[in-house]
Amino acid sequence: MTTLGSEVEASPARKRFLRSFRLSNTGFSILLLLPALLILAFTIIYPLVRGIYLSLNSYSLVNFGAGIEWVGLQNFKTLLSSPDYLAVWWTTILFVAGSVGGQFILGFLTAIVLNQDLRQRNLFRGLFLVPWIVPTVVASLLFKWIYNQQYGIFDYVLRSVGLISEFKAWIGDPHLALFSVTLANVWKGFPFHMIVLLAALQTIPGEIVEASIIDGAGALGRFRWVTLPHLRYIIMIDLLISIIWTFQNFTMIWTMTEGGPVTATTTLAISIYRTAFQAFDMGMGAAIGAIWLAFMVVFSVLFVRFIGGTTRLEI
Amino acid sequence: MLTLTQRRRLTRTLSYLYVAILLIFTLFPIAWMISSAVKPIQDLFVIPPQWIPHHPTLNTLSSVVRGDYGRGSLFPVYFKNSVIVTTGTTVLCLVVASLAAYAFSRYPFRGSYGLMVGILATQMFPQGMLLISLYLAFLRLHLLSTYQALVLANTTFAIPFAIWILKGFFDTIPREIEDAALIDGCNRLDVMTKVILPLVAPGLVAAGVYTFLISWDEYLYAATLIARPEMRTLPPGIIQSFVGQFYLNWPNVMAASVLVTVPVTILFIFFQKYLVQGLTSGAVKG
Repeated sequence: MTTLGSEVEASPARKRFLRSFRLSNTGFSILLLLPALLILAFTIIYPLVRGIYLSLNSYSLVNFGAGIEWVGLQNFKTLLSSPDYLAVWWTTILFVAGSVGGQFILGFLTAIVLNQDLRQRNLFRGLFLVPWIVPTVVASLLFKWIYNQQYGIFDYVLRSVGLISEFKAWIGDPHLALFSVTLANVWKGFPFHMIVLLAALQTIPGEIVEASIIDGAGALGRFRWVTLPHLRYIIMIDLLISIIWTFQNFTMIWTMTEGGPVTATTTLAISIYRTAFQAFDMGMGAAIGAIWLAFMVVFSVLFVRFIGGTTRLEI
Repeated sequence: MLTLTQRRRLTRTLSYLYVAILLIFTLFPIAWMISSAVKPIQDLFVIPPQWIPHHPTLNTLSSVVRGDYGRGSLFPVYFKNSVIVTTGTTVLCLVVASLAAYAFSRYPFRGSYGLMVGILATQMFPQGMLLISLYLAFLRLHLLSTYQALVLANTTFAIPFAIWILKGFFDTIPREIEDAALIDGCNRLDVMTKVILPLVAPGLVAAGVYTFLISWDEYLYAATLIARPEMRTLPPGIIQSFVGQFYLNWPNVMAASVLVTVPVTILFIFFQKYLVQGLTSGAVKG
């Protein structure tokens, strides 16, 4: 036998020598984490800290001579007293609520339907996933074409079936633009919820379902007392992730409307971009981000407390 | 009152009806994109619309592939850039995320749980805010319009999620396998690279495909950190070359859209199983 073990066993002196260099398990663990932590320190932690610092400064890239000037909370005061800024929050909340709400309901319904033993259900699941893998820019250009004012298929179909009587500018009309973008986002995003919730539904033990049927639970009762409690944790994670992502959504909105018409679809993500990279007001852009970040942290903690109860996050 | 069998049959019928309607909702836009990409331009702007192209042609597709459609666009170059950036991001992420996920899964220490929560929590940091400082940093380092800048920026969303997916896979491998190898005298690094990593190959595929998809999709960083046209990736490339302020070249836009979607579709067809497994491994503990 010449396993590594017997070799080491043969020379205790060498073993002791090696052990003096030997990392503890914690040391080994940190060594493995180091590459990821170093990269994230540069790409996330540094920009975050510097962003918070910038939010307390006036820093415009338009006149380089001006440089960075400390202004304290001035950027925040300007923002909070601006009706335009508060309107951005309202737009963001509508967009997030509409997108996540629509995606979740459609995704959950689909998951429940696909959880039965339908013929070809794996094929259907694959086909329903298609919007999710289509690149966002493609999806938004595609919907821009579908919503086209003159030759758009959406308007044509709605008119043909008599739902509307005249041309509508689905993304050109400030009253409709947010709805249209949200609908496109529901199309793009619902498959994620379907996949996560379907996988979760399949973990519900059959005996529990059968027991509840024997106990006389109807379909609704079963949903309320068996399915929902069992899925509570996954629903929480699923909703939290998608709320965070939808706040971040820049591409879909920007490539469809650039936040317009006027400011009809200007969410926080669009607003930072416009402020920092079109008006080149870096300090103000960072301030918009800082408030948003603070909101997300508080929201996430409350959300996990409220929906997750006392369960520790299993990650 | 319906009998049980009748009720079952009704549920079944309604389910298939639901599936049929949803299939139209999900696939119709895709079909319309393809249909629009293979029509000659004059057939695109007609009412009533031609659902099936009367004069199908591959001219638009081929002119987009060749990159000769007048406005100085560089579709093949964008494509190459996208492949380089996406591959770079995927490789870098897989390497560092698998090491980190292994550490979280097998060698937890005081505070490692908090660290993992912290890494996931970075996803709620506004990307636009991170971008401001990344932009200023890359400006100072003369890294704007380079592949490195974009690969590094992409790690902000790719690494945390890849760690999460991979940790889910590592957690499913029984610890006894490592204990046995360690008792046999293998060192910890060998146990990880030679024994455990091969076992989580499906997880590596899942995390890799996922990273590939989201990097291929990335627009905000690419549009901001890349100024030189010949360095652009596909998403901003398409927007910059086909979408003018008052003018949209719809046939070319749809043709380019089809072409951008092809690679991810191929990837999806081959790796659907792993991708689905990966997406659910983090959230759903069976």
